[in-house]
Amino acid sequence: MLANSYPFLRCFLLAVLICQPGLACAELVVIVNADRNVERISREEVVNIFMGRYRKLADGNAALPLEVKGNAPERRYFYGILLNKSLAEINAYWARLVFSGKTSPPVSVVSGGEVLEGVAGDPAMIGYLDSSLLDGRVKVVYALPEAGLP
Amino acid sequence: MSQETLGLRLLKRRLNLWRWRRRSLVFDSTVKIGTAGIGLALVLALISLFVIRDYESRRLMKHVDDLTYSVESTVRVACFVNDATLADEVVKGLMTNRLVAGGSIVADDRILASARRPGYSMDNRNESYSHRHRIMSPFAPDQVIGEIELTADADYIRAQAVDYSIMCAVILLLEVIAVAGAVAWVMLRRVVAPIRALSARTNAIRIGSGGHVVAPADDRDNEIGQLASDFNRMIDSMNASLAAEQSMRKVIAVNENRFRTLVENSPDIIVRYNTDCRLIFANPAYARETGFSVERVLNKRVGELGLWRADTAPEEFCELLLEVMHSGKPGQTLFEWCRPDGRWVSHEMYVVAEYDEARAVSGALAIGRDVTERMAAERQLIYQASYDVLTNLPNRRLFNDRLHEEITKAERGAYGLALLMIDLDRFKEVNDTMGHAIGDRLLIETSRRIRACVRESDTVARLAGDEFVMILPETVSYEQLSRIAQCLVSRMAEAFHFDERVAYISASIGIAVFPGDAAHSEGLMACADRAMYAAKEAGRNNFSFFSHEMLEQTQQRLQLVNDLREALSAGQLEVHYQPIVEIAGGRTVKAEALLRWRHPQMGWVPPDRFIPLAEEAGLIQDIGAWVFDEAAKAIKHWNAAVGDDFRGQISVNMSPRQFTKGKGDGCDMAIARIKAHGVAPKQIAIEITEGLLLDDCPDVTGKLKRLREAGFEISLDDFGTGYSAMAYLKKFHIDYLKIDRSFIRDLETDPGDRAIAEAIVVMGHRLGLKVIAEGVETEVQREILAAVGCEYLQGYLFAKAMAQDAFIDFVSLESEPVV
Repeated sequence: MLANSYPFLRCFLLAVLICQPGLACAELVVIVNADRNVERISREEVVNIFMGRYRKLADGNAALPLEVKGNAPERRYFYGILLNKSLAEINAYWARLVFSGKTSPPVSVVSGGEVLEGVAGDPAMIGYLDSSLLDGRVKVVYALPEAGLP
Repeated sequence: MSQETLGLRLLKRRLNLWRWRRRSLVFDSTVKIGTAGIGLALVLALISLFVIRDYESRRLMKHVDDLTYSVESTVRVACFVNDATLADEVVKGLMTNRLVAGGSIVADDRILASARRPGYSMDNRNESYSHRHRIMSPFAPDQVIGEIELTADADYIRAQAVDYSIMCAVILLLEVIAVAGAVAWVMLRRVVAPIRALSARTNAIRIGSGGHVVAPADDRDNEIGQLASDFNRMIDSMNASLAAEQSMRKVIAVNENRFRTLVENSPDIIVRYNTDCRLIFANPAYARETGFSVERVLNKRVGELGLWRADTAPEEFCELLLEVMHSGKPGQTLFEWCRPDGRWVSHEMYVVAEYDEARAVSGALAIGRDVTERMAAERQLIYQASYDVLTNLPNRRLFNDRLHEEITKAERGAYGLALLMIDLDRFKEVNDTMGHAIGDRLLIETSRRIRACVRESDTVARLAGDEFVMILPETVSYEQLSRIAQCLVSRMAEAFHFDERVAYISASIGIAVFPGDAAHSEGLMACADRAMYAAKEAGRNNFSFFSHEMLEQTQQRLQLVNDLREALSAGQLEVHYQPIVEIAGGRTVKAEALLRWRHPQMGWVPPDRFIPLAEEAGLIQDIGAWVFDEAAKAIKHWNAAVGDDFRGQISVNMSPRQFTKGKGDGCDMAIARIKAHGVAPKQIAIEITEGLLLDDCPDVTGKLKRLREAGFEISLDDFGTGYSAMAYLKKFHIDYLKIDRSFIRDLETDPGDRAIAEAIVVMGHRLGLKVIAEGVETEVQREILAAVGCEYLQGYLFAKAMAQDAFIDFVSLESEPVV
């Protein structure tokens, strides 16, 4: 709500985020198992999968989201760029859905490495990580825009 | 105080209070404010009932609409992930609100959740009760991902709205009532109570007592205090007005009393009439004069009382009143009325208009003065001016009017009328011998007898002493007139009885007829007069119709008079002297001067014809004086002719006219002229007739006395023909008696005449008079007269009358000594 109401403030905050050490020159990308017959997915598909709308990709196979837990910068960065929402908002969103129990939030792991490992190890998985961690087992299907872009 | 009494008092107070409140401002106002407030509240409540209901309905509807916003984010999430459970939770949550009758959430054409209030029929749902909202994706604001529909519970909302509006109305009602009560209370405390206090204090004030209203202490400076001071100003002004009015009333009362006493004590009638000619005021004089009480005449119209004389119509008076009221000019009239005691009174009424404050005529004021006495005096004067008081016959004035009137009538009617002139013969003698009282009674009786001979319509008038005249209209027949005249003559000749005494007179009547004798009144009178003289000449006691011969005689008479006027200056008159011989010596000692007129055409005119004319024409004074002068001259001649010792005497006739008062008095003339001529008065004798003595002239005695004192001798002529009253001889100082020639003429043959002659002589001698016999023509007569002792003789036996020269010659010859 805050970001919606104050776009300039939001940009400023994002700029601050991006310029943090460790993420300074990094790029967040959405990856899937390299074996998947999917090359690229849209932003919509990223949002629907990560926000629990459905858990399938265009090839008709399941896509279970995976992410670092807590207040990891990647996570904050991911929702900030993708949905322009804070982690608190994302958490509140999931709190409502958890109550009904019908949809669950993405599976949480400790680090970006684990995300890589998870995706590499299970073709049904989909996750996002800093592009610096990429390897051949996974492939990038969606790259998030540079920081500073909406 | 007992219980009952207290209760009763409380009850009374309550009743009083109630009664007071019924008329109280606060009660009235409270009732009105309350009624108006309740009415207004009811109206407002009624209006608010609907307004609030509608407003509330709309508000609740909006509230329902707003509910969707409160759940929108959750519904977005539910729709995004198609979470029916979450949607159902949301719908259930919404259904907990009583306003919501049903709801459903649809995502991607699939109903995620739906609920409906049991018993609520969705059939009657209306679009206005359903709220549909599109649900956007939580992550893409422009992407529709579902829809939520909420249906409001219309019945409930309506019921809620109604409840709410009713509650509002009730509150409003209570508020208004409370405000009305508060206003009433404030009014009672702050307005009515001070007004009541003020009212009570004002009520206690008596105008004129000097008291003032004191405002309640708290209200000194506000409107109540102002009202109190206004009252005080009003009281002051009323006190001042009252004092002024009282003093004015006193002044008015004094004035009123003055005027009232003026009006009430006025001897004049004062009456006020309204514009309808009704009497609205009458003073006591009116009641006194008319005999009617004022109450009885009030509001009566003029003439309603019937006290009017027939010839003074009440309508006329009414018209006068109206005329005065109409024109504003004063009017005057005379009216006569009959008092209840039967006496007729005359009032001169002066009428003026009266005006009210607006200068409009309010009536008329009539002021009446009793002029009964004046009117009576005026009537008396008018009567006396027209009637002879003694006989009550019309006098000359009225007679002239009547004659003109009758002539005019006769001319118009072409009929005739007759005029009868009646002269009483010998009335003078009766008057002189029997006294005036008898004379008056005789005249009264005469008038009665005259009236008895004629019709009522004929006019009988008394012109002078014994002269009556009558007008007989429509009478021209000579027979008729003769009958009337004869009747008059006969009746007059009858004896008049007065007590024990009897008088006889007769009448001479002259008759003239219109239009035969004369065409106008003066001519007719002259004709009648002439005829009357003719009757007299014809021996009296008869009547005579006027004839044209009379007219001629009259004309001759007039001619003779005219000639006579010239005669003296023309020298036609002469004085002749007839000698009177003294029996003793046979010598002429006296002569009588006799007037002669030698008329140029007619020759000698006898003295008995022209002397009366001279008397009538007023020439006798001049002629008499001339004769006197002639006689005086003759005396001088006589004296010269006969010598020193003899003094003859000439007697001069003096007419009674010369003894009348005024110019040409014979007495003064004789006394003056005898001196002028230087002749001794004893040589002139004044000869008078009995008629002079009979004239009731008081001067005659004095004049005769003066003449005698002057030295003249007086001779009484024609003695024996008239009354020859012995009393005269004694009363008047006479020197000579002349026996009338009628006694001498038959002296020789008639012993009666001789006796009379003798008696006269004897009587004369007894009274110290000398006697002269006239008309002695024979020697026998001379002898008889000498025998009875008569002193002087006159007659043809001695000489006729001669002119002066002849007479002087005659006496000269006689006086010469007989050789």
